[in-house]
Amino acid sequence: MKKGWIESESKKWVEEGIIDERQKEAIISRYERQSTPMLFFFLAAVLIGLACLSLIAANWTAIHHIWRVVLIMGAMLVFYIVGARAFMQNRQGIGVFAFLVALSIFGAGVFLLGDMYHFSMNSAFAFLVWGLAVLLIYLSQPQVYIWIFGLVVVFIGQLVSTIQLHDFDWLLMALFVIGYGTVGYFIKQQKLMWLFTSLLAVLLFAFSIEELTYYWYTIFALILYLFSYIIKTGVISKPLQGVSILSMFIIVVYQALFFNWSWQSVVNDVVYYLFLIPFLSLAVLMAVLNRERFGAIQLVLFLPVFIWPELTTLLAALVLFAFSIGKLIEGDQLKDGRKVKLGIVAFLISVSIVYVEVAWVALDRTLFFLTGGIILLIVGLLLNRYQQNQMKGSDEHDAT
Amino acid sequence: MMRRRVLFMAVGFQVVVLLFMVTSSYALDQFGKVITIQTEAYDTEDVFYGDYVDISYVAETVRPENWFVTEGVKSNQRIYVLLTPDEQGVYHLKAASDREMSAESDDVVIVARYRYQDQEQVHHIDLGLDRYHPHYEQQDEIESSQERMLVMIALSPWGQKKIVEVENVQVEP
Repeated sequence: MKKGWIESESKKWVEEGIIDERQKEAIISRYERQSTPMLFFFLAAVLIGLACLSLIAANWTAIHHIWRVVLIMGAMLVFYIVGARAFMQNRQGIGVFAFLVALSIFGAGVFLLGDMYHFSMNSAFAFLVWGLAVLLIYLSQPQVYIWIFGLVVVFIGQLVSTIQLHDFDWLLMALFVIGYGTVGYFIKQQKLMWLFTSLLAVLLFAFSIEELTYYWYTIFALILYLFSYIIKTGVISKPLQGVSILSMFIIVVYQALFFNWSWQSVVNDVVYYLFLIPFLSLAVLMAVLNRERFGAIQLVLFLPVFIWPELTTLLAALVLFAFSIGKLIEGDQLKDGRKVKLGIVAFLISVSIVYVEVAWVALDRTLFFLTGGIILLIVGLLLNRYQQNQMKGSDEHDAT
Repeated sequence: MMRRRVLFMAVGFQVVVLLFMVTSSYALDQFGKVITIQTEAYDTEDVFYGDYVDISYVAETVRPENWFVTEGVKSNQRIYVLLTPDEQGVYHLKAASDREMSAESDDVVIVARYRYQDQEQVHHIDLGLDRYHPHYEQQDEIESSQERMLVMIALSPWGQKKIVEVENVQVEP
């Protein structure tokens, strides 16, 4: 897609005389076509795996126990052999496809044998063994899709275990963080780390609501945030910080919209503050030490807005405003268009929340629509000014 | 070369896991401790679902006096059940708790899952042994029986359990 875009754009540039034909070729050659067949093989593996499963499941009870075992193991080994041969002949797509089918058969096999032989499948055991097998296969053939497959297996296993069985499985968590996290770190692809940290955040949130209370997630998000300073590599620190801030934004929005006074026990939870205060101070300190003027502003999201239950909605809205205006100014100062857009989106969300929650009670309807209009007008003017500034800035840049 | 070795290890690991699951079931017959528990009285009309019997045990309903759970339990939560034998060697529920318990002398502890609490404050749990596939000749026998069944279950030290045999008895209520 990217290459297609570059090709059509660069043709225009040549026509307009900005670059010549040779430069165009040089630019295009920098954008190598992504290997899309790999994606097709991946999806094909998923579909064919599902088809096999449903076919066997339909006739399963008619097959004798021993034959079932032979069938499962035989099919698994056949796909491993096919995959290994494909990798030897350097046909990566087919290799990944065959390995993923084999791993699916293994996972299904664990569940089916568990059912046949009366293993109590009410535990994370099957997912643990399955996730471990995928990780081992990944180590023998470092293909990204195998890593993603295993990551999702462990993620789903942990969700099932936590939400449905009410047992947060520490072994699965260790496999997720130490196994898949470490391996993912060495792949050094930011996209994959975004996936990993997002899933990790979901698991931490599930842990918080299941074993503690939802607001404990704040502590975990803070830890993720602090880790972004410890592991400075851009591959991991950006996703860590991004996921942490984004998830906290969602939580504050939730608090602004649905906070209920009846959950007042929060205020008495001293242990929570014993964690929150040092971690938050540390985060502010790190932002100051790293000369991130705006890093400190986004930390407002971690403030405990539920400290005064009567004012929580208002405080949450104020926090959202502070955050979004901080992002707007940060984007303006750093000339980062993406941050400005982010700030605008955050600002609009904050405005809508105040609109439905806070002001509705206090203000007259007409007055409220008027205020809403004026606020939006100011956003529009700000954006306009920003764009003009940018154009002026680029003009000046050209002049010099 | 190194990768090849890892691949062999990975595939070997999977084969071993599957084989372990197959053999452990047979090992259970050999080495597991076998206890007998009682089912609820059932209606013969409802017993068969296709080729298997749906069994509910007396030990799956827990009266408040045997219930040792400190706080509210959630559906599907792990419940430890302490069973103790009577003079005939049939095991009955002695206590149920969300905390791990240690078994003394002849008692056994098995893991169940919480289901729900009914209007009479009775807690319902699931031992995870509610399906039994009887042999063909045994099906008639079960069908003609009117009362309860005694179920022999094998328990392994690693927490696996399965039904070994089902026997019909006429038990006085």
